Amino acid sequence: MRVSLILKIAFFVLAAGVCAAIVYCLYLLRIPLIMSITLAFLLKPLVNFGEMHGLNRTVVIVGLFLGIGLAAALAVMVVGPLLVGETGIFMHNLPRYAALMRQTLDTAHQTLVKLFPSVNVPDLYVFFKGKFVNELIGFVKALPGVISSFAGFLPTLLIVPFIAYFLLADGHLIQKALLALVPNRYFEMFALLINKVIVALQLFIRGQMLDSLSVGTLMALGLTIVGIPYGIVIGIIAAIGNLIPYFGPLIGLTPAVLVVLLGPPASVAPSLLAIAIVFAGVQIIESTLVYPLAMGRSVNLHPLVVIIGVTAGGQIGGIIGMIVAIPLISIFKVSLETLHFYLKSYSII
Amino acid sequence: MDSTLWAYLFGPPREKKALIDLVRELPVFQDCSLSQLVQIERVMHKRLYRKDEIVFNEGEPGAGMYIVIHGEVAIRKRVAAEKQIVLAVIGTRHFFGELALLDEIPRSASAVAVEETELLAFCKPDLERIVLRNPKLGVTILRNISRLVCKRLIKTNQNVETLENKLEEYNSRNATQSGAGITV
Repeated sequence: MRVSLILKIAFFVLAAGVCAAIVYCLYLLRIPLIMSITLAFLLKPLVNFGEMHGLNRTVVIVGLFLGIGLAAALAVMVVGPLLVGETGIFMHNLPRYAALMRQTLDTAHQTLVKLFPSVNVPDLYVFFKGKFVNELIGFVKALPGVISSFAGFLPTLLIVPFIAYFLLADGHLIQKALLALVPNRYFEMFALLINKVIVALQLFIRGQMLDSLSVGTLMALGLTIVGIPYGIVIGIIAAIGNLIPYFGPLIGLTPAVLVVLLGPPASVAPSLLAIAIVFAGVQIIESTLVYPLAMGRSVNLHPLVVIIGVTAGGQIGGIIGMIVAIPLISIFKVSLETLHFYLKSYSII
Repeated sequence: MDSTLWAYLFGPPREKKALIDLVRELPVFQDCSLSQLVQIERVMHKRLYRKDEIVFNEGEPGAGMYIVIHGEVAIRKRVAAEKQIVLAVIGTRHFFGELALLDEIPRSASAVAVEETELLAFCKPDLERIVLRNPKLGVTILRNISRLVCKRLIKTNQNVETLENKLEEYNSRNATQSGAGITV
């Protein structure tokens, strides 16, 4: 009896140790893992399409990776130097932009103090600088580094297609292995649940990526066509900002307006008008064409949840926190809703 | 070279071949080629149930069909609050619960292992994945399930007809005796 108890405890200690080791490995690999899962979710429809038309799944996956690699190499060769040049000039001019921003915010601060003398209005520049500006500067500073130190990212980039390949080729076997661990009583529920959650996640990630890619490309193209400097950099900022609902479009618009305000005074008014037209055009195309197509069947969050989520995300993790907050809340919402539905259906709760 | 065929010929252990042979005999998978059967077997879930362990409960959403590898499963239906009747006992190399492949409709009866039983589960998401990746195979399976449902519908119609005839006979006999009958 005592021996069996010791064996049981030893087993649970061992199992806990193995679980901890797996969690630690997953934590170490979190960035390539997130990139691999996103890549696999994005490519899955194309792989299924190829397989549906009689092509071998492995051949389709390898072919797609080769195509993406080639396109990425071309993009780095063509867009890379432009981007490095643009960000270099942008960084050179950044102190001027910061001074302008300080001046504008100081004026706003003084106006607010005059309007509401009894209220202790915080220094807006210190507030914004502390919250966002430092992170934005850090992000823009990192951009040319990412492109030029491509070799430094090579190990991470190499592991991404490797993991994505196995997710695409044998994703269902991973699900099957997970289901094998589920007790018989919950087998049917989890068989349906895992699938529902994965499908919802796929739709969400695919939709978000397509939406952001479209907004970024349209902004970069539009701004470059109307002759606003740093079109590509602003396009990338707009694409990343687009991941944040409601506040996203402002994140793309702000650098474009700042850049124009610091240009020659004669061209400020026409450039602002051009930006307004490009911005309005991108927003119209995004909200009427891209969003319904990309996100139509995806997660719907109440605006209040979005605002609270984005604010809390910003408090916890700055810009990165704001970007990650909504996808995380959406994943949580879908999982919880589906779990609740099946727990009720299977009379477990 | 079809990789799944290659895997079947040179890769899988004997146990897998036995499972493929088991799947091949079932009407749900008739007309499927060897490589298609290998694909089907790859997505199926092998599960072991103890004696009296519930496979699924009446009224719960159905997730898929089960094939009995060995053992027996009783299909029970609740007829009163505390009373269940056994509708059928499913033995080795037979299957049950195939309607759940079409929709998550609530199970019309419960399934309970009569003895230690090993089952092969084929779930709705597995079928959906097959339909998406290999529509030809998906259509074959769905057509086979439709055939089964059709056969059952014809049989049910015949049973209803027989019952109606009997009821009519009973009514006419009763009407001549007492002037009352049962209407449907």
